[in-house]
Amino acid sequence: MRDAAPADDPTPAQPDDLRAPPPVDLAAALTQMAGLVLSRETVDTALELVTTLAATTTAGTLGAAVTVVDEHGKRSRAASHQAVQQADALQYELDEGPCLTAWRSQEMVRIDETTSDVRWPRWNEAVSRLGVRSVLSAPLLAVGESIGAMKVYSVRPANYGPHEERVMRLLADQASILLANSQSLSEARRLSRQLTEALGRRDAIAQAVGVLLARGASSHQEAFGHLAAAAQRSHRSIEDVARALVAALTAGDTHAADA
Amino acid sequence: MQDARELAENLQRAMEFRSVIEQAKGILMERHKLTADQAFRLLAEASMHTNRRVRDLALNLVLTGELPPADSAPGDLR
Repeated sequence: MRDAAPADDPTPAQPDDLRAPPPVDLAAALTQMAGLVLSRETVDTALELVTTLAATTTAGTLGAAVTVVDEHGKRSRAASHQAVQQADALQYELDEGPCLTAWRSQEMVRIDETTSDVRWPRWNEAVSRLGVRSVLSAPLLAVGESIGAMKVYSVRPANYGPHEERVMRLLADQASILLANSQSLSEARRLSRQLTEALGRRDAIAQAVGVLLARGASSHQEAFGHLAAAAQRSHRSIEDVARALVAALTAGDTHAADA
Repeated sequence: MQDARELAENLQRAMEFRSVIEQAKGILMERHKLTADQAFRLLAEASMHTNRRVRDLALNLVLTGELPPADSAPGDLR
């Protein structure tokens, strides 16, 4: 048997043991895993490449961008020009415009002249003041689901035709793949958040089990059985019973919780 | 794939240790009327003085109800 280290000269203990309390490593690990797939930065850079390609390969284009629609709402990414950002913001604000229609209908939308087009009167009027005269917007589809649209804006009327439609269709396919990947990243983040919450619930229950062990429960299973029975009696979750038990303890009232 | 499996195994083990440490904290909280943080500090101090890992001490406490004294004067732990 080894001698205990003198109190004023503690043997270096394992550093991870002294970091109180143990950190939740699960979230970090899962985020790291998601990062291996495709980082948000990578997706943004690649999307910018695609919109820059769209803007430069369709002659007479002022700028391009991607509209993303998901559970967080509608927004633009990788806009290659400020006027594009403004024209997009007007669509979200007015809840009308070629990209929202492309997204909803899953079909290519073309405007040849904003000053005479009657399909989106408020938006057309607003963007014609910005100088936008023609638009081409392609839907973004991921596994049959519409996730947004990619568009080019021009200051020239009737700037886009069948050739530009073909180019946009090809580029929209690329953007869709990139976006589908970035959505799986946010999916992983959501999963990581849920797991962190689940871990918190586990911790609360484990602490309460410890309390019951100290009160004489003969095993972990028996202690858990007590919690489960108390939860059923009071129509609460086991987690709630566990938290109440521990809270009553720290509040100095050890008899308040029914477990 | 190897990395993913290794990660999953490590996570599984980490979760088990985590629960044991929480149970040990619960025992100390009830026994000495401590907060969760104080209970963990007691475990960490015992770990330092015995040169054993917190998770090993926690497991021992849960199984036997015993924790090696962290200090010659346990009275001032509260």
